[in-house]
Amino acid sequence: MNRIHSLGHRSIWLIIIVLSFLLPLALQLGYIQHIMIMAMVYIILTLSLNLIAGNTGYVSFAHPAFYAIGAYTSGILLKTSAIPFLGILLFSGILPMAISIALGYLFFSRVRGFAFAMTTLAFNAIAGLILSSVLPNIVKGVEFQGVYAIPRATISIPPLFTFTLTSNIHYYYFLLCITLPFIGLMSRLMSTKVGRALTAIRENELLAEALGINTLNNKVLAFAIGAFFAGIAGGFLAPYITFVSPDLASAYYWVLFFTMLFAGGPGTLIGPIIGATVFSVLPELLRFAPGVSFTPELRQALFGLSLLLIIILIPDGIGGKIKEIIYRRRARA
Amino acid sequence: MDPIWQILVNGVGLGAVYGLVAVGIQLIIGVSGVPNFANGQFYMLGGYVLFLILGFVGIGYFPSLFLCILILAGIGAIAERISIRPLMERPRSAGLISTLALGMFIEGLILILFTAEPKTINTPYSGIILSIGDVSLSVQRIIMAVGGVGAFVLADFFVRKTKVGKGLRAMSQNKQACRIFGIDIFKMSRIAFMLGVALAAFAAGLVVPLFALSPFMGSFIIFKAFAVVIIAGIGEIRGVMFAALLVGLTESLASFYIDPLFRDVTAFLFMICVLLIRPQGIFGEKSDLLFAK
Repeated sequence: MNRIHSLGHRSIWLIIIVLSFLLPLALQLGYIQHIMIMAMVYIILTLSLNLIAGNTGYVSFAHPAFYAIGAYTSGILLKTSAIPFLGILLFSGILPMAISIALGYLFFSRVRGFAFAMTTLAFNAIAGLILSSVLPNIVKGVEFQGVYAIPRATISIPPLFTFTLTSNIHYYYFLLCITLPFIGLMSRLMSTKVGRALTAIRENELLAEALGINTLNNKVLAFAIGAFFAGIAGGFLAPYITFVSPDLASAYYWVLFFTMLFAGGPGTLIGPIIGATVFSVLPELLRFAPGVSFTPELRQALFGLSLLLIIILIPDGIGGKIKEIIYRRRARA
Repeated sequence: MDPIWQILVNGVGLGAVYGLVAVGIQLIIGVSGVPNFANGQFYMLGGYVLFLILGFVGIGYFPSLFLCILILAGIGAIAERISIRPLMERPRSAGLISTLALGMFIEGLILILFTAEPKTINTPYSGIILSIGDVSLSVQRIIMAVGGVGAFVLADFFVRKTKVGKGLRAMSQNKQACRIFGIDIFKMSRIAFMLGVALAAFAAGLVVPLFALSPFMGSFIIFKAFAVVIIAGIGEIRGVMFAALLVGLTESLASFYIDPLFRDVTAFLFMICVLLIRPQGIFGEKSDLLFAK
């Protein structure tokens, strides 16, 4: 059943992949390419948050902190070390992952559900404070407002080639080479034993435990994979924007990630992708709406209202709704 | 005035505000299971409503405060109907996100209407300074302390002694049994929400004449109020009051003796310690209300 289901989807995924390769070539505008890059960054962030918040059912506020830690790691190392960029990128994922494993074992073993969400909220606040106030005193090259003048990334495989990513289009294809395998990995992961264990934890944790699933290890694993990819997203952002600020760990970002995830449809694959795309493209489109000046205040009010309406009216998000429609159509046929 | 007295007075004032916002959160989690992340924004909204009443309706400070609480309780009833009731049977994360969204919407709306610029409210009482020995306090500060404690005592009495209050407590123990005994659980959810919002508005009414009124004061306070609820646990209102005072005092002591930067994370560090040692909270009776997903 599941196999047939995914076969029907294959054509849709193929179209998405081909379009994502061709679209930036057709739209030769730096601004549009920038929107598409940021959409991909948010797809990685939302899908990795989905693993813990959507698939496992544990809301985590710590994602912006992992994103910011990845960005800081990458920014500082690019500025001060001679490590090749691919190594830096890997390291900017590993550091948040190590932190998340420590946090996971510390808290998952003691608290569940909402209390866990509060510990991640606390962690995010503390991490934000460390980035903005402690780090500048210890690490050279970090200012109180962030890390400035981060050099562009250079990808080199020594005997073969060396290439510095300078324009938006370079970064676009580089990120695409991360995003597509990542989406593939997420889709595979959910049909493995681990993925099913996560779903079991979400639906009924006590029952999952009774069936012999090691809930602690599985929860930590989901949390750690999420943190790793959030760090990778941050690690990519640093040389792309060439500036990293402690605001990356601020409340604005978890609100944004939650909006993308819960409007898109937590626990699905296509949902977070749609949510991340819609909520990174829509504000830019609204900027061109005639007669309305699209201020950050208006954006906040609209985001809040749309998230509220979606949560109440379409409980499973846009992705869940699409799934439902496809199933219904299939059932009729 | 001696700095230590100044610190203690500030700490108690802070604690009273956290406590009044936290009591509402605790009541609502207990009754409907939804963590109300919009309560901070209701607190902020209370301040702005009071600002409007004082500016456009020519009645004194106390009648204005009373009117403000009534208006906010009404808004709370509407908000409960929209953002809490449809989600009572859904996973808790749905209620968490919906109230976060509601708070974001309220804050955005206030930002559009009043801009981010802080506003000041002057009451007839903020100018009068009382001096006892070498301690001098403005009357508004005394009103705040007395009003804060008074609201706590009243809320505690209401929840423990009145019939409706007993219904609220019963709800947080066993929802199913409440249904069997004919308690209207939707009505209880509405009452808890209105009470929570009214207490937050009252806190704002007491505090705003002392500090400036800003659209961000809600999001500034809400997470600390949640930390207070976790520290206290789900149970008696007195537990929240105690935890709030503890947090308020440690915060103002830490910001004076250690580092002002430290202030904003004191409550969180406190909360983490409590969760590691006694996960159901200092006064919490059972943990499943906090641990549900």
